[in-house]
Amino acid sequence: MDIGSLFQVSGSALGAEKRRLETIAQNLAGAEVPRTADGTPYRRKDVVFKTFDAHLKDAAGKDAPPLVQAQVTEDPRPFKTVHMPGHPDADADGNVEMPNVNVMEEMMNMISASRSYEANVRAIGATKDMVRNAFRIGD
Amino acid sequence: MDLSNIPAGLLAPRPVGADTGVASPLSTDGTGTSFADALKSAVADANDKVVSADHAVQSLMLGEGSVHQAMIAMQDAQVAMEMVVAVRNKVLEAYQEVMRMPV
Repeated sequence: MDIGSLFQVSGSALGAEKRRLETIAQNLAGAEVPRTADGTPYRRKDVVFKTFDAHLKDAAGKDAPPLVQAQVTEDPRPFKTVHMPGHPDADADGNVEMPNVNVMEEMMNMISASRSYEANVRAIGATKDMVRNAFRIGD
Repeated sequence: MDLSNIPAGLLAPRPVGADTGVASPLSTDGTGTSFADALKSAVADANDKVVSADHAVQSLMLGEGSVHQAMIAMQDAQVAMEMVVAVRNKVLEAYQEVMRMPV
């Protein structure tokens, strides 16, 4: 595996973590939205990471390792029901359906996403430092 | 010193990679490639990487692409450039060493 494909692998993970953080930001923004364009409360989005083979070749002509990508899915958990009789979206009993977003959970995922991003940045830095050290052999 | 005792093969200029019996990956006819060609191709490769890093930064400025892609392209270009510079330094060092040789 050459340096270029090492960078590619870490880079794809950075892209996936960025996608995850975008999804978390979207969930936090929608956490209090009881009515979206189609009339239902906001449904929480989730990301699933998977690998995909980009069929890249490294400099030696060998297959480069598969890259990582994030796929956005919808969270099937039920909406929360909150009793708010004065709310414009309240039903006959005064209940309002609210999004299935748990802000605590999103904060936890956000920490995880930003730490994973950091780890991949470190991996790129370590790769580069290693190569630079190799250039110094014999100095 | 009598140079005639040295096997002829040692003094003859040899293409890079010829003594290993394995053709250099840059050669197409299996005879190996000269050091100058290898260096040229390394310089061209480094230049390609610098150009693609340039494109990545430009597309970032235009609102396309992402920060990490541009940064990675720049790092890749920098590593390739350092590689070429390291080789150049070694070559110059060798040349100067030869030039310092008392005749």
